[in-house]
Amino acid sequence: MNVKSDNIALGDREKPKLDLNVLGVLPILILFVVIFGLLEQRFLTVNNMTNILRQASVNIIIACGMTLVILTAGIDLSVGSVLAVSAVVAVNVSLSSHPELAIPIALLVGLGVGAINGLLIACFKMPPFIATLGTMTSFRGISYLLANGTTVINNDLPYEVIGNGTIFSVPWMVIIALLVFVVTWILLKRTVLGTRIYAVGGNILAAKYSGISVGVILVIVYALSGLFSATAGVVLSARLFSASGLLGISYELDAIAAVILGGTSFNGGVGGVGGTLVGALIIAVLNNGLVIVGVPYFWQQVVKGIVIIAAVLIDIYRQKMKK
Amino acid sequence: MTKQIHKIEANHISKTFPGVKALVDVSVYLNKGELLSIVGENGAGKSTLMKILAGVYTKDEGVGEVLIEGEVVDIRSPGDALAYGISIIHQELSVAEDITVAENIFMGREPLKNGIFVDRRKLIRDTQAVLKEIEASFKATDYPRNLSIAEQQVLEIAKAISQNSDVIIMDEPTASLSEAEMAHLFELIHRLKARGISIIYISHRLKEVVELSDRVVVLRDGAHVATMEKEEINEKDMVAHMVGRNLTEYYGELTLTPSSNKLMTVKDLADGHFVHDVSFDLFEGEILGLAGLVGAGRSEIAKLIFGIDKKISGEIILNGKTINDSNPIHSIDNGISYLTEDRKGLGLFLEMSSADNIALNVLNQIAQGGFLRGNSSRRFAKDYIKNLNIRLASPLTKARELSGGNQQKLLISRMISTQPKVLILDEPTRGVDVGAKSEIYKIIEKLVESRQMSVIMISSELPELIGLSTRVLVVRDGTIVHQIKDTNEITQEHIMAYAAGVKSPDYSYDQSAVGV
Repeated sequence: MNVKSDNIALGDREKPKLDLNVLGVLPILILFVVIFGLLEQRFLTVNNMTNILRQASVNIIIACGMTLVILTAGIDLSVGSVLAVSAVVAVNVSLSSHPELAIPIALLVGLGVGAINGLLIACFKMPPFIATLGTMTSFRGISYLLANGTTVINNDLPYEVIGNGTIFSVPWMVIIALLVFVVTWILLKRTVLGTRIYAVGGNILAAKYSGISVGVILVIVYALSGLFSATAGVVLSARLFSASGLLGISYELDAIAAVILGGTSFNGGVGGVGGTLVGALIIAVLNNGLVIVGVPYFWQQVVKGIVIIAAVLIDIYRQKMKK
Repeated sequence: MTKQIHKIEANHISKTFPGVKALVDVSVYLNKGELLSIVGENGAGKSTLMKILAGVYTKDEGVGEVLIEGEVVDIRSPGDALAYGISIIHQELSVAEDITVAENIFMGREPLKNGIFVDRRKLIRDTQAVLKEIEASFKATDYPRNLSIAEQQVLEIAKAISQNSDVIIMDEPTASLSEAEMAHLFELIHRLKARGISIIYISHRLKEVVELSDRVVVLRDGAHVATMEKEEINEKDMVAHMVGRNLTEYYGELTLTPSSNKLMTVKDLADGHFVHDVSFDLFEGEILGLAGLVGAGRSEIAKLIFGIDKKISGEIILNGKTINDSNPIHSIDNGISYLTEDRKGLGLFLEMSSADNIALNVLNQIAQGGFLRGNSSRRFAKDYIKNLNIRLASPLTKARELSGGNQQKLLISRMISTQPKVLILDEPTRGVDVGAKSEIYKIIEKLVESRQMSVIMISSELPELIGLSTRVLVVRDGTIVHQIKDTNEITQEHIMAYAAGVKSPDYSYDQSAVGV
């Protein structure tokens, strides 16, 4: 066969070259670091950088789970509430006769309530937004109940080190966040499950026709999101030596913002956790930089919102240019 | 070309995308009331040309011009095109299903009362007038959700007419129509032409192009290779121009000799509302054609066998083993693959790489303990890309970026990657260009000849069904009404007689199938 039409249509010379889109919003992150660095010399210090990473770590952990969920064209609004429930459970167990079980039980709780989200969505075909809106509200209530409406405190928290300790001057929180990131990356890019997550998000019907158990994939994805939220809850409670029903309120918004900034499509099937990491760092740099530069609190909010919209606009525009 | 003034004329149009020349120096013209067909393989530039005329793309600056009735016009947006009286009816219809026909037709330009309120009565009246003009079978107050694809198409044509368009571009309008619906459409086209409306027609079905066209322009690789006037139009020359050589035959000439070993038996299959009493055997080394009109139930039968739809009764016996509780997962495990007719909707993962699209059903086999290497899919896909001659820039190229024929080959690769015993092909060459078609035929024949699998093939293109099948079952009203065993008797007339119900059902095949 000597039909060349397809080659022409594709562009013979279009070798997989360095695609600027791989970089995603990384240039924006660098831009902000440079701007804040120029505006305020206290910004670009090792100390402050460590601080930013520490501040970003909880959001990175949650946003990794959120990436999985959004890749399946879903959403998980319950992450902040799951974080609170797990944090309270962890501190409660640490005060019991088996403090060593604090972390395993907290993580199991996260995994379990995440699976509930998944079951509601997979078995009862509930829209993810509605299902997790419901569980968000209920889990928030449960976290208050478990904490008896107050703050549970343990000044002898056995796992306190993961919130406050460092190794080679890198905070444990940051290491855990990076671990979660690496695990998520490997899961998405190097496992059968990961490919299937992209498949379900990309074309759920084609996934069914390909013999993929869509329901199982969804349950796993929401369970993992719950597990990651619980991890964030444990880390946060370690940092605070305490937990309450007030923890993690509206954290889902920062996580969603990080995922979307990172270029993962709300329609599912497109994106990845690499972008999410950059997105979470952008948010953390903004939070930190705006304070250091001395922008008033209310203005910080305004600027953050604008940045998120602008970054996504730039991304949309760039995608268009590509076509 | 003469200095005569044409209704619409495009001269020396080029379109360059980054790195690709999609269209190079193409010229076409069309008079009032004429039908111009643009033919060419996928990727030849037909759609690009149409999209330039419809204002979706803009042509390269500085070269070429578009003239309407002799005046040079500058079309920069779909709105411009509409203002010049050019409407396009896309292959994938853009009808809003949950608002009425009238609201669809006058979307964005509803007649108003007091400047703000929609004048419903006038809306309905105007719509009804347009519908009457083109003798539509539905009403202004119907909801498109309840209309067939063919009717939705008529709705789009009505919309174009209500916009006073006198150039209508139709992109593959017959792609998903049945024979009867096609006949309707052709009638409507004749009526439109008689009213002085000019039509630009894109189709892969050359037979209808011959039937309808006043002029045919053939594109190949973005270039204009031929303009054929009415009297010169014939199928053979068009194909020759399209592929750049004489294509002696579409179908491979392998003589397949099915064995008498039963591979699969389907008994009394029914889905409870439409498909009923479907029984047949599939033998080793056979291509069993399922013929019938669109809507006869062929795909439905295939989906029951594959298990994506649930059967309420009946048995499927593969290699002597009864398959209970069939679902896609079991079917693929048991060796039944189903190539869907809806490539983009139910088959491909458009945003995933070509390699992943090929390897998707064998991930567990190429993984180790659930883990994949970065190049696992690519390595697996390599042989398929080579053997099926899939043309792509790289295995990492997204499926979205491939042409229809190559997308189809991706899917076929996925289907055969699990080494099925039974491969069900549902419209395997729909929307596929001539070159890729004959390649797909060869692939199918080779697979069957080497006894790797038997094929059940559904196709609305009778010539290909006739050319490939070793046996044909005719489906009508959800069941099998006739069997044609002798390949010499597999003819268009014979099949249509039973498919269209001219001859009453002949269930005698059933006895032989059960082996009485």
